[in-house]
Amino acid sequence: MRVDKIFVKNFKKIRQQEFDFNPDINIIVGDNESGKSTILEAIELCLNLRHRGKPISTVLSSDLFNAEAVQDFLSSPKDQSSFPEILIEAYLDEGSDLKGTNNSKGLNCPGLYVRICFDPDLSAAYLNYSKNLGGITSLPIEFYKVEWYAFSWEKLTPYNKLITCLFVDPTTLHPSQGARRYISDILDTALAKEDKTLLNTSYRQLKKNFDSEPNVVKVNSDLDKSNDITVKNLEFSIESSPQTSWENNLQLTLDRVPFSQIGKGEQHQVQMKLALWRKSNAANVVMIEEPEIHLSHMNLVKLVKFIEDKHKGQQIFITTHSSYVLNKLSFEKICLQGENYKRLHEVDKGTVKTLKRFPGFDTLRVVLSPKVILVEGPSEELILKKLYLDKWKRLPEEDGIDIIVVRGIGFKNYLNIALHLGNSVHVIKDNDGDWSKNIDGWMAPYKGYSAIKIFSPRDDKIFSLEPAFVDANANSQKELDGFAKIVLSTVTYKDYDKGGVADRKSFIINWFSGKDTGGKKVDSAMRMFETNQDFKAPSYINEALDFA
Amino acid sequence: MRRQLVIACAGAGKSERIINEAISNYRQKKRSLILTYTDCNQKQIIKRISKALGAVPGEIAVKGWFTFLLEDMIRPYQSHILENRVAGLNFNETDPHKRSGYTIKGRSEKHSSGKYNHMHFVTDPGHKAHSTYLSKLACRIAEESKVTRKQGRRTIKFGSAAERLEEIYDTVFIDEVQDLVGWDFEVLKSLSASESLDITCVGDFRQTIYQTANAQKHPKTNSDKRARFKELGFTEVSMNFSRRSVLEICEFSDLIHEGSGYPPTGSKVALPSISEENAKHIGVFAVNPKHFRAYQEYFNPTILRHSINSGVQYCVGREAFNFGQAKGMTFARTLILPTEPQMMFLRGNRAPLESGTTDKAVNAFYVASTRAQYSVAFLIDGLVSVKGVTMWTP
Repeated sequence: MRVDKIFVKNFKKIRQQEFDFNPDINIIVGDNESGKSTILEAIELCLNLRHRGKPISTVLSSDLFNAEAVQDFLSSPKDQSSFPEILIEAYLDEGSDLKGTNNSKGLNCPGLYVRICFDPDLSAAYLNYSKNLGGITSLPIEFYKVEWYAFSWEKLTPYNKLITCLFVDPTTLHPSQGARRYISDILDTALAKEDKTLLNTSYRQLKKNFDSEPNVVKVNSDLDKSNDITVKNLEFSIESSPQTSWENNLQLTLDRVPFSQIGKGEQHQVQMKLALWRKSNAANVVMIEEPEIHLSHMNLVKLVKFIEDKHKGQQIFITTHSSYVLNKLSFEKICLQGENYKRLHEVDKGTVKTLKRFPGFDTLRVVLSPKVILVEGPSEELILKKLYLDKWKRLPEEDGIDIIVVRGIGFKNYLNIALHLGNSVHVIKDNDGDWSKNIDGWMAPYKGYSAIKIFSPRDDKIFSLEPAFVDANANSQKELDGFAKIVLSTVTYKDYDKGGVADRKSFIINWFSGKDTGGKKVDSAMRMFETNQDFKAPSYINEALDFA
Repeated sequence: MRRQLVIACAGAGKSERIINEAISNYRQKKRSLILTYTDCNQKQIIKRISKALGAVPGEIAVKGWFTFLLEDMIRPYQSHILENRVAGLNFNETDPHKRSGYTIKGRSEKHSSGKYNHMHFVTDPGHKAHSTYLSKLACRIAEESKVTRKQGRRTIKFGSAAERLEEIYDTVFIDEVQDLVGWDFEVLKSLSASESLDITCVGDFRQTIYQTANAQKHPKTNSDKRARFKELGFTEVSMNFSRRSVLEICEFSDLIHEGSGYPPTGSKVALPSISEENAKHIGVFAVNPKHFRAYQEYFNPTILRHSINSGVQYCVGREAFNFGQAKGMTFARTLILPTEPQMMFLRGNRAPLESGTTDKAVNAFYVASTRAQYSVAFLIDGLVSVKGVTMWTP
């Protein structure tokens, strides 16, 4: 059973939004504070009626409500009908028991919803309260109730809802508060019913054995031998509390070290792996928040492999800030949360494959930056930063512009991602001596995407960045010499300093394309970055920096 | 798609048949829905399934008829007619839209605008559905939520609820089907549109005492109901061997509906294994009230009466059940305190018993007469002329 989509209203970060999901893996990415965790929390609330593992009724507070919605309420007449309500609907792929049209879309499909709304039974009480309390300055949460129904409008209980999720949340894993609860959560979700029963009976057997232990019997028989204290039989015995508490008396150990004492990273991994390790069919949906936390790169690699291998039959939700996680688990599984929510399930399959092979690429940068400049090499990156800094007195990152060196995987894979995103992408690319083929023809597949623009010299003779700079700074010999002083070492400058402007131009251009061209380019880019001298930039570069 | 109407005599083990089929479905990983009319019967069925399987598995759902209407026929698609969730049931003794014989204003099914009037179906405030109009509501929702579907070469129209049910269940069993009336049959018709659902209805029309709704819609009488089943494509199967009562009792009780076309009832009861000295007391008897105490002491029968007010002097301090209550129950021996028409019947005059507009009086007599395994006695003064009844003297 899978969650096809959820509809969320007034819950935390989300005012009103619909999210559709992949049936297998969903990698939720987004900037900080964009509401990634809110999506997971919404799923947990709707499927388990819990918030961060705790029953919603025990943690119901105005913090769960969208701040804007609360503000609207506070500036309203605050009558019964202006109370904001939280609504989370989960639309499922199967389970006709839960089927019906009782959802906000009127769709005839299986699903369930949680609704946190004003309790009309308390309307008289609210009337009194609001009269006596003149000004209400916060959301009166006491007047709320929680409804939990299937789309068939059957009341839900933990037993008839048919779908369960397990929320693995490493950030709250702390021995002092969560370990106990967390162990019982694991027992609940990871163990099959029969195994649980076995553990339970063995535990009770253990209690019994204690009572018949010879030493215990001896202590007990000596206890009130002459019946001075009571005429009844006085004995010590193990407390026989309700049978559910057996879970609280167990602990997990690794090599006999208690779980709470082992390293954070290991705790983490064990926790996540147990959730995915399906001995029981208990959890249909597993949600993991930022699996990269506390993990070294090597352990992350192992964990991601585990997720890849073991998720079969479960629907996985992962939030992450790690490009490795998303490249490796398949880039097309991204669910991007920002101003709008977007899935990238239609990304080119070849690109997905390339990213899986080269998971180190920082694809998240392309995904998350609103403005991206793609360049061929590090020298372009340096020079662009320098130009931007000179003009605006700050780095492009500070204005949300990310300059990315495409290197290995090439422009096309980045563009195949970008065309699904709609963020502005400027490509700076050499024409390599044939503009119509290498620029115009090359860009043809992206012609329909107005957010993607390419910048390159129109003149075939100006085949790459360096000739373009030479050309831009060759209006007089003086200007050219000034530029040569910046980009060339003192030794090379001596070789340069002869002949007319044309000779000098071709000297620099030839020097760049000669031996060790890469090293030379970076060296001169460093010199351009560090210099206090003025130099001109070719016009296409200036245009590329302009996102207006 | 099987459509079966099983007509059983009293004590034929019809619930047993349903349970066995549901269990065999379960073993084939098929899901069954068992619908019953009385609470008592529902508990019985749950108990027997638990005995057989340890507990009722998820593949077998046992629901009361009203609960079924509410949970499966109404709520999932009620938005077509009612906006607010139907909170529950409001049991009506009589038509809730009538007060001292007059129709209450504002309760018609539709407003003059053509929109449905919720007041016709639910209480306001409270939003509880009137039990009288529950199956009508279910039918209206089925009509409003119709989807069309190709089934082979035919295009059929389908209520969404029936479609949902066939996705969940393989077989629907309806026990005590004799108690369905009027709109209930429209619900049945709506379910019958499904080609993949098997529907087995089981009942004994001779035992109709309650009715699920007191609305005026047809069919109301047993013969009308059986005809309606036929129209819906049901084939009749009869179960006419009693596993409760000895042949003498079966033969006597057959006389009650004589002429209505029921096949004679046989008995599968092995002769008494009860090792008492009075084990020879087998059959149907008439006991003069003056011998009441003696009969009571000898045989300790369970007393069956018309209502709590009948024959109080005999019942005080003894086990006694009303005829209606006793439905579905089994006792070793019974002593019936007959009503006036029942006494007339015993004296050879059927007319008073059959004079009512419904079959209720006849059926109650049939229920009372078929509770005992070994002996039925009537407390009656004077001569009895019906065959098979022996006078008992101490």
